[in-house]
Amino acid sequence: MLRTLVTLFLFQFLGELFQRGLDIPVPGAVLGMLLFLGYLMLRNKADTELFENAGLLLKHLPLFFIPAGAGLMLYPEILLEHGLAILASLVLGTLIALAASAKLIQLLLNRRVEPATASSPQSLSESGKDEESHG
Amino acid sequence: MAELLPLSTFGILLTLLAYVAGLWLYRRSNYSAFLQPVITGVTLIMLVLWLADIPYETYFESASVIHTLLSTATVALAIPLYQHLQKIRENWRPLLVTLLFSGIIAAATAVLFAWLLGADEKLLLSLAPKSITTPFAIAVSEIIGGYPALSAAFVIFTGMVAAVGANPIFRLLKITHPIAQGTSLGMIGHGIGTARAFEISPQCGAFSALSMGLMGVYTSLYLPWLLHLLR
Repeated sequence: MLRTLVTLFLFQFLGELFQRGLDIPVPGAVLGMLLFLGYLMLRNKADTELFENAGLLLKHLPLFFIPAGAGLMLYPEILLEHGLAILASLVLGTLIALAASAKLIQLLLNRRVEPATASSPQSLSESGKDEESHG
Repeated sequence: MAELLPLSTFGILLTLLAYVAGLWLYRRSNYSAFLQPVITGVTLIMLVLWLADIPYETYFESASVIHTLLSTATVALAIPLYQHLQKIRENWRPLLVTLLFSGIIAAATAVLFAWLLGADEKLLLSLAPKSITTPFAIAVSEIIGGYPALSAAFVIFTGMVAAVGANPIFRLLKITHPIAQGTSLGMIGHGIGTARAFEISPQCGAFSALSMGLMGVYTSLYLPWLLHLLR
């Protein structure tokens, strides 16, 4: 656990350091994640202890959203004044984006599967099975 | 009342209790998308603070450890990304095209509808990063000049809409491919969409987790630069 904490905080620190030092408009935590990903790829080893401990943190990801989420109460006047605009943006915008995104990737995947049929029939039948299981 | 509170622990304890209550309700409701632990947690916190007349700033400072761990968890998201590298390589072309498209459409539709209904610039900037997971959205909102706290709440609401809307949309548009379902849920509905995707199938969930990460990185890279260039 200790090694996991040191590793994660080290990359979080480095990410924030880079963000300040280079003054680039990218969140420090995102830079830290990219640096950490680069480190994992260079090391290229399944570090079970690290992965399991970090998994505990990710399992409770929703917990860490709560303090920021409650910030909604800071701006009641904005919510009252622009409630309809916000609701339209969040509901219609999200549903349209979801539909467009899903349609696009399914088109791309289907187009790609056809030429692959001859070379890898196994993977095709696997994905077919998956579709049935929840369809 | 606020003066009496031991501030080193009050915010942490309140957040943990609200989360535990949220988890309990989520399980009891048989994982209803409307009762995600975040939604219950945030509602309970706001209710307690309002009833006890405690300023949000006092609570947030007291709960800052938990907020800091959000960045730590974001760093840890590199692990699922690393574990799915093989799958990214196999599907990189459709994923990349969909990512480039989804990042734009998610922000564009969010801004468009609010703009049509008269939202001001700062509110539009707060809505733009609504489809990326909270640590990214807060940071992006801060950088581009929105209200970070509002963005966080918008993100959570967006995830809920995506999770609730996914099944009807997939049925209507005949989206049957598990990779298509997972990818779109992760790109538009971030972590909350991902939780939903894992309920469809493990493969669907894996692609959703991956897509959520890609979308967060991509949007947090392109949105500040785009706005910087436009100004």
